[in-house]
Amino acid sequence: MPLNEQSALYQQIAKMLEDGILRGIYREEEQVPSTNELARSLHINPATAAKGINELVEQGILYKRRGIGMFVSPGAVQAITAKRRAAFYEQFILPLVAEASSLGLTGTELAAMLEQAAKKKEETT
Amino acid sequence: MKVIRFYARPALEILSVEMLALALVGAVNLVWKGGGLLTGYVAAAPVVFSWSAAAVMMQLSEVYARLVLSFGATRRQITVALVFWWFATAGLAALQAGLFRPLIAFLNLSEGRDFINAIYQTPALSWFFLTLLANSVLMLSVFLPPRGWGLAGRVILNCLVLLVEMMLPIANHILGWPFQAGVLCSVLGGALLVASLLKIQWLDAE
Amino acid sequence: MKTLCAQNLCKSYGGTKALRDVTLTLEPGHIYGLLGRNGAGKTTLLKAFTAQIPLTTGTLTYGGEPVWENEKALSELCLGRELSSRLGNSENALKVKDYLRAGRLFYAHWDEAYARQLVQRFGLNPRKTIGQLSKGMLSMLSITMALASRAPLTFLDEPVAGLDMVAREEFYKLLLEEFTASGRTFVVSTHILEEAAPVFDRVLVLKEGQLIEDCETDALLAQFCAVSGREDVVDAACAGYTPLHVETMGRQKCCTLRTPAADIAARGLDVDVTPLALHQVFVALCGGEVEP
Repeated sequence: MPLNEQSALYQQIAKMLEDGILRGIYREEEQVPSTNELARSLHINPATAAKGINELVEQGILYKRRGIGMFVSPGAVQAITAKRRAAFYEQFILPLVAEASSLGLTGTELAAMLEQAAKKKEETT
Repeated sequence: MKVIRFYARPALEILSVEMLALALVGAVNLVWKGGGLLTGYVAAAPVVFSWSAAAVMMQLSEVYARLVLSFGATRRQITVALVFWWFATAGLAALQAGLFRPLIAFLNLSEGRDFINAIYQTPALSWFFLTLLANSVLMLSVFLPPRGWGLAGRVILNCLVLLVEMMLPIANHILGWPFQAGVLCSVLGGALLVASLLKIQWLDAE
Repeated sequence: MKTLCAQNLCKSYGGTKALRDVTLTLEPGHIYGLLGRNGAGKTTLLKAFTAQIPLTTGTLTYGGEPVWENEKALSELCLGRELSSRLGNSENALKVKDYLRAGRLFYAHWDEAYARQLVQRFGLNPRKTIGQLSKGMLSMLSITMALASRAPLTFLDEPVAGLDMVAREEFYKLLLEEFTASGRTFVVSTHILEEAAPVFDRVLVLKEGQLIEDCETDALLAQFCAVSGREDVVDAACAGYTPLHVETMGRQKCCTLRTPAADIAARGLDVDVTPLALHQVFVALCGGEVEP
């Protein structure tokens, strides 16, 4: 039985770069690794790496400087945050609710748990 | 040319080891005159040499063709190289026979041995033809058996070569017609060579 | 960079058909994965591409010119073949350095400095004969030959056979370094798909001598999905599609389908729809039987 849930490899590359931007590994107006660098260090085909990078270029998160390479667009952090917020409901809330209902948790109980977790997070940070 | 060049070095290596062995036996002989078997060995040097030349040829032709094909050689290149070595080894054998005859006569090693006499009295040209034939048989033994014919078949064919090798001295010794035997060798050898070369056109790489 | 075109290649050995009507084009600038079970005809196909075996029928051209008996075309094609130290192989008496010398003689783009560098990196002893090498070392020698040939079109037959995990990673790293630096075209056959899948941008799948797939790796993967969940729900989710493979465990059922995951997910049923990895697609394509 296939147990490995995974998205297409190029999408994983795109997500990895986005994570890097959110964590400040790649800052705005800074260069990100080239297709070939990604290919060599991750042991993937350069075409796959290029596909991942191009996806971010299409979304305006990266831009190309001719003859130099790929750079993080100004406002990339905001763009990624906005994009992920838009997808948050579908990606995280819906599966959460589905899991909760299969365990017989009510909406109120779930809401209480969420509030409790949020409070704990606030305290630690 | 590439194919000829690729095997020139291993060919020379094998040949030089043979030469060294012969020289060693010759040196022992000079010190210890009349040493029966060793004396015979030096006297039979041309035969030994033509055998070794043929053995080189065989090894080369097999390694040549199947191996060299896997490097992207064409069958035409292989054919040219085989014909080159076919003549080259025979030429070397004949040269060797020519060179050894005066040496044997000078050392007077073969007195009273009819068979050895027959060997060294055989004309160099006949040795040339004999080696051509031996080469052809060897080549045939490499190329003619279909895939999977295996080692046994090749061994049998190689034994045939040994018989052929003995043919000339025997023809000379018993029948007294060394040159005619040489011509017969070359005709037979030529036919076998053509058969081998034709087979190469459909050869598989290893 | 030239294109290799194969049309209707057929090869029979006696009565057995090793290749059946293989037609394909190898475009420059890709790393092709050549997949197939043992005996599917992978090695035969690679040998056919490099004119090492006469074809029964079919034509093969490189840059528009026939490959057969074409010295120039052949000097640009390299097959890093599987070596074996089995007794009686004629190359076994050759020393490593003599074997590599053949590369220098026969391949038009041979890079001697690169060959030396690889020999050193792999720790190969140039004075050893091929017959003395271990299985892993034999693979390393083949890899050295193939990479240093710098042939615009290079075929590697089972290059990682006998290599340990570390050496296999090293190989893919070298391959990608060379590919990104030169843009040469590679065709690599292997059975260890888990590691090789990310390296291939295109795959060729052979089954019983026939080419059953020739497409981009991503595109191939996108055509498959696995649907798992409770038996009746899975059946409902898969209704109308023929599963390639079915596994059941009690009421749990998992079907492998040649259908994009989105099509099944769109039905909105309570099942898990997951994409397949290349090795799973391979098993689905070549694995055989469908359970009733």
